[in-house]
Amino acid sequence: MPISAYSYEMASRIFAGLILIVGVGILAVVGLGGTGEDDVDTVASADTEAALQQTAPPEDAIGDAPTTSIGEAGPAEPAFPVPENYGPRLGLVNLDGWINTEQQSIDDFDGQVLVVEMWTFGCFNCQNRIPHTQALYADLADENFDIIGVHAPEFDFEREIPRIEQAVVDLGVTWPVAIDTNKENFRAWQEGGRRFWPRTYVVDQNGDIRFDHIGEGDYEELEQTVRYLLDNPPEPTGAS
Amino acid sequence: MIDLLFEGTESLRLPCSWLLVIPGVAVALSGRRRAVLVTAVFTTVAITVAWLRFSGFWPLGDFTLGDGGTSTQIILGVGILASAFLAWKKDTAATDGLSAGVAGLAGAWGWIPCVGPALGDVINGAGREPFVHIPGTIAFIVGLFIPFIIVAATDVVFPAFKEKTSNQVVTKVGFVLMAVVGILFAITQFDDLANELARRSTF
Repeated sequence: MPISAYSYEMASRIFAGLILIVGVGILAVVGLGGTGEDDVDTVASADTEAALQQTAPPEDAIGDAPTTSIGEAGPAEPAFPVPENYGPRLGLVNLDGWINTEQQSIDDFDGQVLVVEMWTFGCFNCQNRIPHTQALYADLADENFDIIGVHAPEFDFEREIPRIEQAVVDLGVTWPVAIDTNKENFRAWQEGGRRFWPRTYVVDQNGDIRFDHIGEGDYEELEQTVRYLLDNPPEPTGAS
Repeated sequence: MIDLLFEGTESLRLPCSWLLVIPGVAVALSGRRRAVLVTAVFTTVAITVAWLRFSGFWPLGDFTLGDGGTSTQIILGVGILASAFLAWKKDTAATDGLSAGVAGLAGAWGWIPCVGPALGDVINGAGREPFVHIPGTIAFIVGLFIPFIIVAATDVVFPAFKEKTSNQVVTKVGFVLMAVVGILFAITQFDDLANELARRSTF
């Protein structure tokens, strides 16, 4: 074998060996649960709780709109940047019903800060969001705030309404759930071919989308966006 | 970047990944004689399609959402069957590579990823800055395909392993699995396979 061919083969083996070691290492760590993924829920929930406590205004401040009037000191400059405005939300149409609410339309939630979350009960990452959403829902129960989970099935077995109702109970989803079996709204809200579970929006009091996040994570930013909008409601536009 | 690698590997156990992993297993077994080549082709095609989808450049929509039309699925199914048949009949690098590429294209199109925190950052960012998030997409898919990459690397490091495991039985099993994937695609029922697997592993 010529020396160059031999060198090439040796280099290939060394490179492949490194890949092998790294690959086996990753598999071993993941297989042994060493990435801490199993602890994500607990740890992240604790983080969210801490964040909620840190960012929560004093009890007596809740409900006080930060309106500024002449002669009064205005509200402190918000540290959180003004959330981007992505334009007006769409409606929720041709639903197969609602769970956990008497409301029958998203329009019934107008005027509130609203979290709209596209999810499906079998989705691992959607399940991971639930404790965070639950913490937010509980903490802001007395605020001008609500949540709608839009249940859009990924797989056929997630289309059956009794299964959805059971999953809502089992997973501890206590906020209103709109059943979007045909995914008409799931598609319409996520135009442009980038459609994923879960996807979370925050809609302001005027019906404009002010937060848009795909997947798990960004819990603190979600919380801050909601709080910002509660504390700094946009000027009413007269249309939503 | 390392978190994406780990998240990709973690998602191997989730049903949402199986639409991509099942064709990968078929490719790895049927192309066992050329593990490095088929793994490289399958991974590259999957990364490309995934990035196009994350960035919003993908023109065919999501077939599991009823987009893209059944005709495209049928064409892909026939393509999987035809390219696998070619690879079976003509044992060449070109036919194995073609078969891996078509399977990668089909699998990556059918795949709806589980969007964890790390991949979420990539997908959210790719909508605004597509090119910045190419490395992240690569890291996630490489993490997802770690088992196939390990097998390919083992072949290079220990040629005796390849000799022992590249036999007719393994290849035949791979082609049968590939044929099943192709047929399910052609009759637009491939997502039903993942559906059934998911149903059995969830509530």
